[in-house]
Amino acid sequence: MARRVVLSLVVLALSPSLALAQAEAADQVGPAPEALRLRLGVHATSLVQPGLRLSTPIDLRTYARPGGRGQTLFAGPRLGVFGAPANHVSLQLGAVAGYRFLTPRKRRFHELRVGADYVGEWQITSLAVHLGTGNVTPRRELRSYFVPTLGYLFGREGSGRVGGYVGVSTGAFVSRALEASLYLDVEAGLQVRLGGSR
Amino acid sequence: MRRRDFLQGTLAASVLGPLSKGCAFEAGGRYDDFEIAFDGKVVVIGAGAAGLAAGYLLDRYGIEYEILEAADQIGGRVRRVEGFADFPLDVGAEWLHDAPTMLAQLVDDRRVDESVELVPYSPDEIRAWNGRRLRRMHWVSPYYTEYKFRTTTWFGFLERFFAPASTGRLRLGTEVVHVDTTGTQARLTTAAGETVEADRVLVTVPLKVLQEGRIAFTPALDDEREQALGRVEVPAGLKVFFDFERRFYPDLVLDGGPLRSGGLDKLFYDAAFRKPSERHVLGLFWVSNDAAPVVAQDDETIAARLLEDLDRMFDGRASRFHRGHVVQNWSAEPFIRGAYSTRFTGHRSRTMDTLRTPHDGRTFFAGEALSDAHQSTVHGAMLSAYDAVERLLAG
Repeated sequence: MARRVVLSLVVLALSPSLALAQAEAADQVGPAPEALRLRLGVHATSLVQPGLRLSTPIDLRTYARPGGRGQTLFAGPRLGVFGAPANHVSLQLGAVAGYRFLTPRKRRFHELRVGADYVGEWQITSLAVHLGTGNVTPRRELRSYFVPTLGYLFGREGSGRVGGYVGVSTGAFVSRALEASLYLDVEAGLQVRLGGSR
Repeated sequence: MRRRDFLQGTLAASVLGPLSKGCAFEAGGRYDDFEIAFDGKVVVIGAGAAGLAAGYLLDRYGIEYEILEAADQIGGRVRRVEGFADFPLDVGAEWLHDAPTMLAQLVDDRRVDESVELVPYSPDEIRAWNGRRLRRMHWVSPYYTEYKFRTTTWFGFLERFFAPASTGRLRLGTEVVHVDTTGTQARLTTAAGETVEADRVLVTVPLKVLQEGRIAFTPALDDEREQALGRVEVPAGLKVFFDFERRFYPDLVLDGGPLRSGGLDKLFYDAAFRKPSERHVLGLFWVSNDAAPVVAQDDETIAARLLEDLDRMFDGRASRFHRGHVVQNWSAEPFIRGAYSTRFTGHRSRTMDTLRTPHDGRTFFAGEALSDAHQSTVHGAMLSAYDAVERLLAG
C-alpha cells in the first residue's frame, strides 16, 4: 500500500509541473493576487476521530486564463489535533501543496493537493480504574507516523474575506513499528483571506 | 422503609444486641437508596457473574441468602487458567464491552480504595482469512475499541470484589433440578435429593440450561415463557489458546470479513496484546452454530484441527512453533452447555420482558441474556442481577 501511495504522490507531484509548463506557454503568469488564506476546520480522521485543523495555504503563482478562470499554485503549513478519547490523542503537523482551480463568476474553487505530515499519536496503552471513585488514569505512549496524503477540496469564496470549504483526503499512516494503514480524512471549515484583493 | 434507614437500624441493632441482619454497610453507592419490602430467605441458583453479583447486593442489603452452584467452582462462563502463560488467561468471558468506569459502577462502593488495570483492546494489525489468503484489514482498527484486564481477569475481578460477600453462603457441587413454589415456601430439590427452602428464588443459570429443561418448575413454566426461551439463540462456544515459540501472526485474524456473516464469530487474536508478557499466546474465540460439529469432538482433536487451520493461514508455521495449548469447550461444560445469547427471533425487548417476569410471583431470573442494554456481557449479567434483586426485594 505504501508503494502505491508513494507512486501516486510522484504522479501528482509531476503533473503540476507539466501543467505549469503548458500554462507558461499559453497563458499569463503572474504573482498571486492573494498572499495568504487562513483556514480553520473541523475534521474527522477515519471518519470517527474528530479534530480541529488550522492551515495557511500561501498562494505562490497564479496562471490566469481568459474569462477570469485560472489556477493558483499554493503551499503552506497545517497543524491539527484529533483523537478518539478511548484510544489516543494525536497531533498532526505538516504541509500541503497543490493547485487551486478558480471559477470567479461563481466564486467557487477546487483544490488538488498533496500533503506530507508528521502525526504524533499519544496512544493509551493501559489505564487504571479506581473502583471507589471511578476515576480513570491513562498511561500513554507516543507513536510516530509519516502520513503522505492526496486530497481534494471544494470551496466557495464569500463576498467579503470569509469563505468556506469541504475536503477529503486519503493516504497512509506509515511507521517503522507497524504495517502501513489507511488514512482517510474529511474536513469542513471556514477560511479568511488575508492581504491581496477582495 | 428506605435502604438507608434500614442500614442505620441494622447497624444500631448490631451494636445493641444479637439481632443484626447480616453485615450491612453503607457503601454510598447508587444501590443504597432502595426501599426493601421483603423479609425472608433468598436462594440464588448459580454462582456465575450474575449469581455472585446478586449475593453481593443481598449481602449489602442484609438479606439472608444462599447460593447453590452446580459446578465445583464459581464463575460460570467466567473462568481463569493460570500457569499456561506468564499471565492469567480468561478462558471464558474476556473483554469489557463498555467504558472502564463500568467496573466502578459494578462495585458501587465508595469505600473501596483499589484500582484495576485495563488495556484498550484496539488491535493495529488486522487480517481477514477468506479461505485462501489473509487480506489486510487494518482500516477496521479505528472503529474497534474494547477493554481487557491487563494483569488480572474477569474471574480475578469477581473473586476479589464479589465472591467474598458470599463466603459461608455459597455451596458448590449443588445442582438444583427442581423448583417447587406451590407451597408456602419455595422448595428446591438438588440432584443429590436434598431439599432447600426459601421465600424467593433467583435463577441465574445460563439460558441454555433452562432451554434444555434441566431445571423443572412446579408449577410448570407457562407457554409464553417457554416460547420466549425458544426465541433466544445460544450458539456453541469454544475458546482455545496456543502457546508458540515465536510470533508469526497479526494482532487479530477474522475468519471471514468483518462485514460478512460469521466474520466476527470466529477470531484468532493475540491474547497477550498489551499485556506484560514475553510469551506468544494466540487465542481462538469461536461463538457460532458453525462450531457445533467441532465442539462435539474431544479437546485434542479440536486443537489439532485448529492448528491445521492456522497452518493454512501461516504456511505451516503454527505446527512448527507450537508448544502447547489449552482448550475450553463451553458447549461440553455440563452446567453451561453453550456460549451466550446472541440473537433473538422476533421482538427482542418483549422476549426479555417475558423472561424477566417472575414465575409464580416468587421465582426471579437474571443473567446476560436478560440485560436490555448490555446483553451478552459479564457486566450485563451483573446489572441484570442487581435489577432482579431490587425487584425481588420490592415485594
